[in-house]
Amino acid sequence: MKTLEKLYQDTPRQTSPDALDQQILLHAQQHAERRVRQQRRFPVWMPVSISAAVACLALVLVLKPDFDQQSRPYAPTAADSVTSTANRSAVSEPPQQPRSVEIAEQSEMQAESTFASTDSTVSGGAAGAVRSIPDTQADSSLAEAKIELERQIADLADTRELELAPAADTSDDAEGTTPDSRKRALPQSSTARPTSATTKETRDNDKRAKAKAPATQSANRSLSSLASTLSTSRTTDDDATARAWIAAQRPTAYTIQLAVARDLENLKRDVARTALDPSLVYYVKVELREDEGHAALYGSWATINAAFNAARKISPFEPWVRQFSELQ
Amino acid sequence: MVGKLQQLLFSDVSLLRKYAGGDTAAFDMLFRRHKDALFNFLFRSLPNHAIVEEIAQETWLTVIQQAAAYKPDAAFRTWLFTIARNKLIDHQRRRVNNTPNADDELLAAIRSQDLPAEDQTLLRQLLDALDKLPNDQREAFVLQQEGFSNKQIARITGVGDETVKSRLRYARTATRSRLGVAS
Repeated sequence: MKTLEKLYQDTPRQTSPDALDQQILLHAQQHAERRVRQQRRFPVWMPVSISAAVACLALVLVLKPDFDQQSRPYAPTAADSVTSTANRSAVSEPPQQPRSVEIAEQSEMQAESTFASTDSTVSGGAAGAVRSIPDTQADSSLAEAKIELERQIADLADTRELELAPAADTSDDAEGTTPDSRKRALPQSSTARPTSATTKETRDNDKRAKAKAPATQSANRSLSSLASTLSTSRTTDDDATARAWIAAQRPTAYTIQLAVARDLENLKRDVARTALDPSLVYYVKVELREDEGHAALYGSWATINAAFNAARKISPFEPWVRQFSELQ
Repeated sequence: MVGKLQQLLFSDVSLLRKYAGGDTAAFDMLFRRHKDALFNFLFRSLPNHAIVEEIAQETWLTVIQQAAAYKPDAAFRTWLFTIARNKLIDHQRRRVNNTPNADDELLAAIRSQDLPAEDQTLLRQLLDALDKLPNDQREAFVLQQEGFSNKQIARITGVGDETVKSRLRYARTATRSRLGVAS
């Protein structure tokens, strides 16, 4: 007896009829030819590449990058200030923010020009002025102004030394953050005359300065005109007080830039929320990108380490330790 | 000799890829490999020549159209029989009630073919017994006779391996009992 499977295999197998076979093979041939024609006429990669290109274009249009709008934050961290202060001479430009070098140079020019424009020891400085320069024309004009300033400042180097000496002397006394030191510093700067002018040495310096007066006055005038084109900040009471205080400090000393904001009242309100003594905080006008702002400066420390130790205790700000030489 | 050599050299998948690239000779070879097995399976599932021819044609047309998009997840033969089974189910769903499933004249012709005399009666009883099996059991039995493994049958019919095993067991038991054949 055969098994069931063997029995089934013995049943006659049905085969596909020839007519059906021919029909299917003909259809297969026609289909293949049609497909080849379509591939020649319209490659498969073409719609894919076209759609990818359109998608990329749409992405660029929608997410149009505006690199001019990118700038440094208003209140950099203390670590940033370490790099910028310690390696100020060595670091030419920070990574990924090449324009900040120009901005820093602009701040220096502004500070120098403001210093030269005054006939006293009071010097102003744009503390942490962050400003983006809109076009290349402005860049070139700034560069020319910088060269002109450097040349004239070199001519006036002697005069500067004479004028800075009394302020530096008084700042030695005023160093620190006590209200007394501030009170001592403010009258000196507001009167724009050093208190040590009574000393003999200072009198000699004044005489020498007066001897160079005609030359320096003309230079100062030109510097003033240049500075006026660069600086748009207006002197207010807070600003004048702050600039006088900055000028009275030693250039090698350090201060803490708490924050920079457009609205002075908001800035003062934020500072008032901290445990800091409001009387020790100075507000200086700075130039922002397309507007004016105010920087809050706090205290004066002889060393950078002391300034950093104080900065670490300040919250919620991210303070920036700055040397007075940058601001003066 | 040449045909046998070609069958050894080219797998089903490679032939299908060649055809997708425009080589009609590759499809010719592939078609001749599987056309009879497919036709036999369809005929055993639905013994009506006209309907089986129609379903076989639809099946191969689907293969032709889907050749470029074919992904070799399973053997080509499994894919082919899966398409055929789905076409068969589609036909049974849309079948008009008065359309006869079985071609009685054809069945009679088959049964009267010149077979070994000793098996004539047994063969006729076997075909009758297969006709009386439920569709899923008959389908599993026929696919097994076409050389598919239980796993491949499970893939074609869309059920689990254990279900296939039980269907085959029921099919054999029922057929043997009808034929009076000992296992």
